[in-house]
Amino acid sequence: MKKLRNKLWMDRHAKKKHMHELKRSEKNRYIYIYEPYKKFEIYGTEGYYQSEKAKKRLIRKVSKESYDTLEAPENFSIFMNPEESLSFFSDIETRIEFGSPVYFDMKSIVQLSIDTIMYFLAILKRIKSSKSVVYSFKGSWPSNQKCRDLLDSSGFLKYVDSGRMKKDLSLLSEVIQIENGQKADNSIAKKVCDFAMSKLNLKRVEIKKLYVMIIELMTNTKHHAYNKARKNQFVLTDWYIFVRFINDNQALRFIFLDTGLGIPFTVKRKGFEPARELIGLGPNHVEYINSALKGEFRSRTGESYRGRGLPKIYSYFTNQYINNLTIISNHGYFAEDKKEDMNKRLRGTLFYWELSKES
Amino acid sequence: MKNKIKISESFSETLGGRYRTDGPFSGEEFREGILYPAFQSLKEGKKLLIDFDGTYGYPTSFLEEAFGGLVRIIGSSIEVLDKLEFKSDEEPSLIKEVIGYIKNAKRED
Repeated sequence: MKKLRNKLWMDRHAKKKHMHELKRSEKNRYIYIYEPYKKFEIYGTEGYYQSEKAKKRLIRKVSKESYDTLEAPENFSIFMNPEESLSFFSDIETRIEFGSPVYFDMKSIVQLSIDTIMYFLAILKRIKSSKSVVYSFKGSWPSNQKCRDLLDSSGFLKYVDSGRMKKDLSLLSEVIQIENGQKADNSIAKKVCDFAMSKLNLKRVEIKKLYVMIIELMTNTKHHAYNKARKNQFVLTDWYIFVRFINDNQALRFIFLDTGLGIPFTVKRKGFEPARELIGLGPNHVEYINSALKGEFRSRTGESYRGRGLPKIYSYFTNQYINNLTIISNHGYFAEDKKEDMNKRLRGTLFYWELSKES
Repeated sequence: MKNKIKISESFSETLGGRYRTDGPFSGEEFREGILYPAFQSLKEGKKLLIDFDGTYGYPTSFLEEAFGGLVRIIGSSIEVLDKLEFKSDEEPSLIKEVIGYIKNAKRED
């Protein structure tokens, strides 16, 4: 009798164990997608919200084998090839929103730029911060050696989990690798200025404007992510900065990315602009950027003593302290020789400028 | 003895943004912690000298919140200008900029 009782117990226990292991192996084979945040857009501002019930609602599970492959364009640069590059990023975000695992195929890239790497990092961070979507993505490295070297020197590996071995970059003296933050960071701004002083042999008095510019851009990131927020809404606002010294022309190249809402969405509308926008005859985004740079009263807070940062930066450009200032924000592309709206949109604002010894 | 604040020594040589929430060494922090107490403790007929030299630079939002913010608290740009003196050998144009923030600070009232 005792033998029978033990056998029954063993059978029940073995069955339980088997079911538990089956569940676990099934769980490992699949990605579980919960209801994602819903996107909304009101008067040109956008955000996300999620109800409490939605947080627990499982939508589907996706086999880990069924990744969507997205191939990056050969010329992968937002400044040089904005439409194709931004289209690639837009595809990534769409797939992630639907919960599809993504495979980034970067093998065929022959031209790669830092602005693209930064924007890529910003998207990855946004995905990781999403509270409901259990994401999964993989990718391949570029076959082109120059592009691989650029990825290494940019500091990209600091921010991602990769099987790729991190090279010893302590001897890399020509760059400040991508730095990231959310508030104004005076230590990073100081580091950039000290780098500029040492590379261009400048005195501290000569880099004061550079320091001011960097702090203003960092501060703008935090302030101008303001929008008419609903409950449960989030807007991730980060800044990223990268600096490279170009020995040939004794100049420094700066790239700064702000992942807020972008200048056109955050500046205050004037006069009939809201009505014009509603009927599709509104100012282009590049016009809003131009207006904000010129200091035409655009502070979204309505306070006249605010909104001086961008005009100050623009004055450094018009007075030739910095060169080649280029700004991309939402659809607007603003540069000395090009001012137009793009079809694709950049979420946030990208700045590029150069500083040389002759400035 | 003259009342003096050398910002790079009394506060920081690397300054921040406008508000405390923007990060360390903000204009708000400087005004509340150093500028306003020094201004309030001035004796009759005395002036406060602000020395701008020795820093990495002055973000516009820092300056406006520090000095424009002082006017918004005191309530009078004339009173503030009467009691402050400025020194900026490294960047002379800064003085005109700060005076501009002080004069324009009252516009919102």
